[in-house]
Amino acid sequence: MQITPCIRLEGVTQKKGSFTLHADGEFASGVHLITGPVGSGKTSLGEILAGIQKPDQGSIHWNGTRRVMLLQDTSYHISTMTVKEEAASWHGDSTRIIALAGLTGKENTDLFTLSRGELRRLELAAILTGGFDLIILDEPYAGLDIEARTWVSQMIESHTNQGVILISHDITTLPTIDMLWEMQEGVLSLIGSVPGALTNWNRPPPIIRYLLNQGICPGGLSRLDLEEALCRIPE
Amino acid sequence: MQDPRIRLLITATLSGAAWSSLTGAMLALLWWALFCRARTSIRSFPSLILILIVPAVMGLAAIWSGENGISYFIRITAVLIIASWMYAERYPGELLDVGVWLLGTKTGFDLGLIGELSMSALEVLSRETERVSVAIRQKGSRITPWIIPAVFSGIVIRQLQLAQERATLLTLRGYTKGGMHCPSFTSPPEDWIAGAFSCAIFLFSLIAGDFFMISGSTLIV
Repeated sequence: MQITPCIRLEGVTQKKGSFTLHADGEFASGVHLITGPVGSGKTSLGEILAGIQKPDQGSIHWNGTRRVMLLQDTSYHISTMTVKEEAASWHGDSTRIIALAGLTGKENTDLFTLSRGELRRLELAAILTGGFDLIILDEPYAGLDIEARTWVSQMIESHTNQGVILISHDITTLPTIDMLWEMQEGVLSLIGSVPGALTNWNRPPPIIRYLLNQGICPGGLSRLDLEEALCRIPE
Repeated sequence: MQDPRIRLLITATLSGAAWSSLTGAMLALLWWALFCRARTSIRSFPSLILILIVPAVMGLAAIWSGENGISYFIRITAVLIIASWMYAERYPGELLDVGVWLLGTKTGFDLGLIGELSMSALEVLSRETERVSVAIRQKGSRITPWIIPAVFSGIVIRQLQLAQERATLLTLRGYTKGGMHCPSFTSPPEDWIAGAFSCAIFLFSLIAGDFFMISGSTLIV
């Protein structure tokens, strides 16, 4: 697959009190996962990538990336009162957005009565069909049940022609990931392309560590890949 | 300014001085320029403009009603600048510290806790408003009067959810009334000097200023 550059960070540094964030790297199209413990600076990096925060030092190059969208775990995008109005407010095909979100028949429902999962589906459907060059999803699985999490991953997988940066410390229901990054104490490092990089992961999450200890390298980080790898464990 | 008790005293004395007379207001501004790290309270030109809007409107209203609008403008500006300095210098937990130090572990603790929760809610509100504004821009829309009800409904609902989560947490931790807290304060000599000057300004403004006359005119306004 020919990968075209999307966004490049050069010597990006941001200081917040005693915490300092350092980031260097290039995010091409495809699905990137930035993982790391809570408080490691993932959200700040997401906001820098989205242009919401400005770094103290370093530069960000937007190579052909004009429209960037950041989705955070709170629904900050709501600007109307009903499902139909909200879908229309994204300036896209509102009928398609509602259908994609699985909210057909709930067009006139008050947005504030929707469940967290329904609201997330509506936002994500609007974002993924909105023609954005780069989509940054910050903890998109937070507060969602397994069904909604699976739906989110399926939606991301079906829109891999865009650049998607997935920020999550939870790797149990991921879509297919192309590149793996890690934030540790404010420092961003590239682990590599998946699945090859999984064996180079210094601090993998428990499930990956368990599989690697069993001598099994998963074919990817998606739920199916992890399930398939677990099935390969000899009895 | 490290000691919140002295900061509270300074805020009260300088606000009183600034409100009581033009001389007091000018001296309060001079105190602010000398003792405050001015950059901590007014971080940018837009924030200075924001602070000046209310005094300007009140000054114009005073002129319109036949009062001395310029004096009104300067005095209210001084009060707001001192207030913004106090807010900028605060650190998390100081209201609880001062509350318990002043009124004990029952009433003082409760008042301090209410103060801390309120300040935290204000910070969340400010952050949320900023985030919503960015999110709406990213969406390709603008904040217009038509979307304000929906936008603010979202902010209010999230604030209520946050308040409920905090109330649940306090209940789970066994909070009913009052609580144990041992405040500790750092009082460097600079804080005492700044506090002494603020008291001197207050006394001077009472003696040299036109406190009673202004108070009377304020009542008329």
